[in-house]
Amino acid sequence: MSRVRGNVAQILVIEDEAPIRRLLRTTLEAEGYVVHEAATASEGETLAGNRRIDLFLVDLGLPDGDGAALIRRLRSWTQRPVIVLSARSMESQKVEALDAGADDYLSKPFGVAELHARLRVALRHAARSGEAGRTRLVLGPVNIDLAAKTVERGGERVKLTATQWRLLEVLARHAGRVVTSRQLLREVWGPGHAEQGHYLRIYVRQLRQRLEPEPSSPRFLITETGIGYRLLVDAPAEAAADAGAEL
Amino acid sequence: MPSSEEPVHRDSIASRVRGWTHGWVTASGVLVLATLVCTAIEGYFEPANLITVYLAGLVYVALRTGRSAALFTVLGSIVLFDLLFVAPRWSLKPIDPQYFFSFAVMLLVGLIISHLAASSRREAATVGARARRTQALNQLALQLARARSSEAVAAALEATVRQALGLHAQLIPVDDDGQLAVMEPAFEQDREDAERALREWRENGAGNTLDAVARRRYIPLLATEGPLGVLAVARLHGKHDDPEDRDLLAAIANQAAVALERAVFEQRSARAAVEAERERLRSTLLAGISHDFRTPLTTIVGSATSLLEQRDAIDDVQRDALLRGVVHEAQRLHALTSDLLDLTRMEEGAVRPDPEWCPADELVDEARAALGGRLLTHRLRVDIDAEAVVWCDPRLLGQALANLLDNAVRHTPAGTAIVVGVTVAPGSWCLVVRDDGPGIPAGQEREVFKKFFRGWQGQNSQGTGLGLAICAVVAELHGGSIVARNDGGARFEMSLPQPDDSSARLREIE
Repeated sequence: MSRVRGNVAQILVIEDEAPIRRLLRTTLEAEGYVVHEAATASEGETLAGNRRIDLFLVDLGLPDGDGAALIRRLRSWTQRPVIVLSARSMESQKVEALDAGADDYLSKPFGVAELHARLRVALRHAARSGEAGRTRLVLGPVNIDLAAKTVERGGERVKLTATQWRLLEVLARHAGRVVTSRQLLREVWGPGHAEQGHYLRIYVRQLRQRLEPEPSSPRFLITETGIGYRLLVDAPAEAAADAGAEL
Repeated sequence: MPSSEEPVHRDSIASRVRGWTHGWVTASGVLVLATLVCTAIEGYFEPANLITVYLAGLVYVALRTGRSAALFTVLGSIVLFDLLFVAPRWSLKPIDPQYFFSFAVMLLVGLIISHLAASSRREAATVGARARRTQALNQLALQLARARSSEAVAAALEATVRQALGLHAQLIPVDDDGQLAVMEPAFEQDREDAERALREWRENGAGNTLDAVARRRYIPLLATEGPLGVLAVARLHGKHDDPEDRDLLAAIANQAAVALERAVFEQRSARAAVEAERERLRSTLLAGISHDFRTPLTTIVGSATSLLEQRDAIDDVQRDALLRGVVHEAQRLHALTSDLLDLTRMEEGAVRPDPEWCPADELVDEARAALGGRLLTHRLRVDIDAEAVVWCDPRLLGQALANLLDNAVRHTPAGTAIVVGVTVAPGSWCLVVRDDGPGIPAGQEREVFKKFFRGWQGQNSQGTGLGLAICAVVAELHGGSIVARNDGGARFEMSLPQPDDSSARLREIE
């Protein structure tokens, strides 16, 4: 899905390592995106101001400054999706970037399939941000209706407690994208509980028992170790007709 | 001021007062007794002979007590003798001038005897004090011989000064920069004096540093490389500034300096041994790293150059095989780098476990997710109570469990069973991973936790050689331990501490 708003999607890669920039340009152009490159945060910000960028790929290890600060500055004027690139072991850095407003992350090293999947999800969300948003999600045998606040599994209604529903709702609003534990705790339990990670573990477990075909090997409600959770959904119900061909 | 009259006594004024009283009581008693004896024999002897009875009493008093009591006895004897036995009775007027001579002799004898007695007593006391000091020094030597650390040296030193001199003391070591360590508050206020003592020693050699200090004494502990510290001694009274006390303090300080120097050397050599061991580990590690990095890199470089340069000679099947090899080897490098980084950060204390209450079976989910499809070749049996809740950092424990499972998969034939179990006991919990495989070679149950351990060749694909080392560090970071043994197949058992209020914590959030 390289087209956004009827045009070819333009991607700004802010990454200081030339080989990685080269790889990204090659694989992104092969998928039909237009690629702009910046080697530093300041160069990236300048380019971001001059071009109509649809998505930012930001490395968190830039030589001239901290990635989270760059994301906060970008977020002050654009809501276009930001995906951060970071080493596997730098979880706190990724969480900081996500809390600063990044939409998702990719751990280095990554495969191109993973890269393109992340880009598609992010661009799809961005394209829908002006609309009412998706209200129906499908997770295998499970149907979630955000407007009616109902969950069905194999045609039968699944009963959720208020907290379980709020948790599922937050994850569903970010369907396909990672949500940090802190963000979940804040949105579900309120700001006072941002440190109580075990609440989250217990409720995620309860949700898995109700929604997952095999709760011990989750397929939809995925743990992103050290970062948070991600709800993987099937093709969006209302977009299936037009997007299905591309997925 | 050194006292020239009294032998050195360590006892207080109270005991001295007791000594005085004792002298007077003895003198009075002897006078009464002598008078009674004289009264009894008065009829049979010349009055001049009676005076010898008093003289005998005087000798006793002079020997047993001090000079003043002896003088008192002489004067008392003269007065009593004159009053009771020399006519006219009940008058102090002696008739016969001969008695003046007797009295003078008596006075002289009393003085001489009491002087002789006093000096012999003083000598005895000096000898006693010397013996006490020698004993104190001997005891100190014994204690110092056993002291292995500077703390033990300090304790022995301070105890000796207290016992031998009744003074409070503190050993203040000099740190690596030549600065004095923190002192007790009582000494800290005179820190400048102590530093001056040290400085003067450095500038002038072992000069008269003791005189520089008014209220306290700071004696540098001298070793071959310079002062190792300062012995600070509190001064109780002015009385104790005795040259012999000073000599004793100096002797104690010398002994302590020797012991302290030995302790410092021992600590240094222990540190050097640790450093050497660390160096050896580092070189082992580097050898392991360079081998483990080069192998996949060789495959990657070889495959990529082959693809570039032999494009025409390679068919699609071969090309795909080479590319898959590149991806696989790159992933192995990635795993190795990650493990090495994790292990290093854990060992260096950069990773602090962040424990929380965690459902035990979630650890398995986490480990299973980390391993992806690799567990599919084996049958995994999870033997965990669904209600079991454990206290741990779920990320670290998930990683450790993944490593244990990965290890089991790699060392057992496909299709065999791997069992994961968790048992919770009061105060601790235990994670067990066991398999049906060939087990660990005898005698290598500890070796397997070492980095790049290669004695136990896997049957299946090679691991990073760091997985079990990470498990051991994770257990250690949690204050627990891990052991490996054979029980059918290999059995790994990780025991971790568990606070008692788990049930309460979980009920609170349900």
